[in-house]
Amino acid sequence: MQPFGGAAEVQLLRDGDEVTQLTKFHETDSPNDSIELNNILDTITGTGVASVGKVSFLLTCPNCGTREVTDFGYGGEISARPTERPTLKQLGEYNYFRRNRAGVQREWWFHRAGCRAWFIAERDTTTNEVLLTELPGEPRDGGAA
Amino acid sequence: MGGRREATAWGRDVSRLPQQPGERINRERVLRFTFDGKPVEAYEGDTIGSALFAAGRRTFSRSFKYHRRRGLLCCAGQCPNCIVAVDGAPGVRACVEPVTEGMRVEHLNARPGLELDVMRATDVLGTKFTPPGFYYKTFIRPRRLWPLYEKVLRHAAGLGVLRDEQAEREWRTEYRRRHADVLVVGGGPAGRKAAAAAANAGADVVLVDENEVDPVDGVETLSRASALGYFDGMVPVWQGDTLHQIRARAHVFATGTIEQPLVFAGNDLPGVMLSGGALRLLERYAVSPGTRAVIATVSDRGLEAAARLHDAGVEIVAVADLRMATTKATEALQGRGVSALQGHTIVEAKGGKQVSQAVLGSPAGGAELSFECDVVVVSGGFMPAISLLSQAGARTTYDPERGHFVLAELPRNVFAAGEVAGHDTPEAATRSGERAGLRAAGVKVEEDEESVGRRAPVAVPPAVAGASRGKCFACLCEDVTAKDIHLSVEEGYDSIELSKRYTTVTMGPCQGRMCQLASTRLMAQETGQALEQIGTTTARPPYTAVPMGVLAGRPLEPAKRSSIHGRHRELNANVKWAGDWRRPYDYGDPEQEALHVHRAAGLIDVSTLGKLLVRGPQAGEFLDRLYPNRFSDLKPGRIRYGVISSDAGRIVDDGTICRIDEDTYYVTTTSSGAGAIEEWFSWWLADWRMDVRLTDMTQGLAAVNLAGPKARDILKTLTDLDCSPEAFKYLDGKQASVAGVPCLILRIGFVGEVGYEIHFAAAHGEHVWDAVMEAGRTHGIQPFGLEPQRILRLQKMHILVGQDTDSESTPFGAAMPWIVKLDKEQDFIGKWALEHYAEEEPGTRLVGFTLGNGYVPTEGAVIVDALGDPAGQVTSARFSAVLDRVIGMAWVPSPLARDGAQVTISDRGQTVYAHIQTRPFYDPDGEVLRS
Repeated sequence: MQPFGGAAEVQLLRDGDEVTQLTKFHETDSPNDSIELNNILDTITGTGVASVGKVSFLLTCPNCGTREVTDFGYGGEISARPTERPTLKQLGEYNYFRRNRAGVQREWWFHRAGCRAWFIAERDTTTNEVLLTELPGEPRDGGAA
Repeated sequence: MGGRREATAWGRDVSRLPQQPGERINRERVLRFTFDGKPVEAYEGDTIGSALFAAGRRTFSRSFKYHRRRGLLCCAGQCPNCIVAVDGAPGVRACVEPVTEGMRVEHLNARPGLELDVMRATDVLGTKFTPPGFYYKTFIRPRRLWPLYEKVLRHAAGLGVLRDEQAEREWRTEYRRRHADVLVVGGGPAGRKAAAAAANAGADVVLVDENEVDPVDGVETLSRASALGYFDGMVPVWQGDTLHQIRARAHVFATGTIEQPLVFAGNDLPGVMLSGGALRLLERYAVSPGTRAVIATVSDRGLEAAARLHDAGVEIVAVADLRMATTKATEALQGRGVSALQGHTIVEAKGGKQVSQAVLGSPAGGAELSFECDVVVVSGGFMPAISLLSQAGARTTYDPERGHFVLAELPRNVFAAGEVAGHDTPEAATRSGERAGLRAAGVKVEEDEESVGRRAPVAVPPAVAGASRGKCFACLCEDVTAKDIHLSVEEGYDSIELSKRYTTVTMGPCQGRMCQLASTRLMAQETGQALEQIGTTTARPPYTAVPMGVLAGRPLEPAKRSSIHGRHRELNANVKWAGDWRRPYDYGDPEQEALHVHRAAGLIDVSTLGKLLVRGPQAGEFLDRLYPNRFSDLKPGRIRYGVISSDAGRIVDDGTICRIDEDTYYVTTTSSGAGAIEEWFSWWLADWRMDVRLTDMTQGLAAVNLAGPKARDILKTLTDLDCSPEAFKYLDGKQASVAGVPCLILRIGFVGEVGYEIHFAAAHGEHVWDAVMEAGRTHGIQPFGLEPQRILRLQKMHILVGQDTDSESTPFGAAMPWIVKLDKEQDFIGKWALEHYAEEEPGTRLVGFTLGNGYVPTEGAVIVDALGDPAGQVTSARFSAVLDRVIGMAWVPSPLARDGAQVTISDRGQTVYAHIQTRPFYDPDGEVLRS
């Protein structure tokens, strides 16, 4: 299992390996961002085995139930992909800028060590309290997600 | 009675007392261990500390900076004074570590030995040489000498050496995850009551305590288990070789209080002991802390300790009680013929190897009294152990009456019980435990109208006494004196957090237990601020020093192996890591293996490729939206190459896609990208919610690539399929039986020769491999590994994503503009960015190059421009035997990206010239491939 960015496999590199380092993607491609993203992803996905000193909370996978956060991959806050051709500035903002909200945020999670389904969580980023998780498109209070 | 005990190096039981009520040693069983190679005897139940003290040892360690003698102080695993190495593992607190038969105990941080330590010179020469920041100020110039300084300083600092087996991670440690309703930290009366009350209320309760505690009925009790921190409701608890990650709905912290030392001249001499430590030695291990004791206290605790010591036969020489008021404890002591000097404290302890004299006086000055003694029992008050609570989000406030910080506000589902919450008397502590336990279990409890049970008043000790007489240590771990804190304020580090970083006070192994309060008081005195304003330093995990190996968990290094791996072993393949996979790098001679593929036939295991089945009425449309090129118009039975781009227009992965039937596509990805591409596909599918099903076949299917001029002849003998070039064309994908196994055969240009990639159920891996090798025997088939594959693919200028591309590479720069179909009416990932890049000349382009003189440049070597400035880089380079020259790929400035252009490569100090080539080195028109 690898986070986006292959930090895990870098640890496994040996001399003379042919391993290709997976390109960073999903809207976070600048080299500086990538380093930071790797750290954040490592932190959240618990790529290292230890999770002491790292974010620690429970998430409820809509398919599998409640698990340690280290079971999951983090996909970041949900952002709207432009539907019309964006200006270069709009495209840059979509690719590289985050609201980085302090408070409740809707975000993507992937049950990497489980059913391998993507789902949506609402989490308070200041307390790590998870208010709800749901599969995308699940009707909620009569409305669409 | 036990057998006669032999004399030890320090005499026989010099400090052991006759049986004491409630002692925890078993005098029937004698254990033997060694300290610095010398034999020591202990009773079962002894700690290393109690046994050594009983045998007459007073110096247990040398201090961090000045290498001063340090002896037992707290006897509770709180202070740094008795840290030793046990069986090679450093960082063990002797005072709480039980003796086991044959254990090998050694001192730390003293050379050549504890009794004679040459580094003591740092103390003797005076503090002039070692003020705070000394190293930073002194050893930075000249810079070139730093390697030398570092070598010396590394030796001078630190408290131990990591043992080899821990460094190599051979030490087996475990993780355990425990979910509970209630976690109680602290197994004293309040904690035990809280655990019992919560359990009685039906809760699933875990109780942890760093010391040996008896189990509580109906509660999972973890003894000798230290809570290390609080992480969003998860508390890691270290117990032996296990790290329990305990997650509870509610937490009760009954962590008690920590007895504080007093800051006075010579307060670190061996023999200066906290009252709790002296009593623990006496009561648990029947060891007398000394024969003549001087007591200095600010509360009843010191007086009660004096009475207990007196009853055990220790002569109480003098008692200094900082308070003016008398209490029951004063009277109880008077009943034993001992009067306390009220309003007095200790200003200096004198002595050589251990304390021999105590000077008492009033903090205001005036007459002083000296007493001969061999132990000084101090009690500077009790600070609530609030570190874990602070980590959980509790707020604290300064209580001037008690002279320390107290809890002011607790977060939801976090409760405090017992002394840490200010309930000093046993009755009040137990009652608070019960209430906290019930509330943690979800039982509604009325607000407690009764006031907290308080003991007799305490006096707030001066920040420092006898400062002019010698070193007064505020922090024993890091050897920080009152004067150092004065100096740090003078130099402008006038906030507690700055002073902490400058002097390193509170940053040692005790994690502020012994020095947090003292340093805050000193800061208040130096800056004239109120303690409330000074505040405390931030409590950070780990609360207790913990071996890194315990945090790291079990040394897992998972490896993936293909179902054919056994055959590679038998063929003596040179196996190496490739991502998570163990793969054959070569079978002995990569150059020859590559050449052989051109001459006859080669077989390579490519089971590691990512393999995804994309199925459903919208499968074609789904791929059209994921790839810059089209797949919905691909005819069933045909194959097309695809490059995945991100929304930023960068190359993410590549692979071939075969349309199996109207609704089914078989997608291959790079080996290292397999997991991430499956995630990527399923992510977009989750977002778009199309009528498509994804199945990851990577682990379920094996694949081999059979390539070379003889490949067709070999395949023919294994299948009924018409393999003629007319029937089975380049980029055809066919389902057929090979060696009796149902397979999907993809005719692709993987290595540049006629080739068939055969995919089949992994269980048949060895069977198909064997069948192909057997059928190919007469044609001279040979297996080939990753390295020859790289040479072969480089000859064809097939890019290796992640090697030849990076996170900045676009399909345009990578010379694959044909892959991008901007005329697609449909939106696809990366479309907008690629539209932009299509109009812009890329700064650098990926092209091939050749080198004439046989020099193989390093991958990553720099392409330099006319001025010698970096302008690009080499991404791949190999010697090609079939072409008899060195070939490579490089990113070069766009104007140079044309056939025949010369570029300059600067590589490890050498300059070489290469010639650009934009078309494949081998079979540029693909005639061989299509034949």
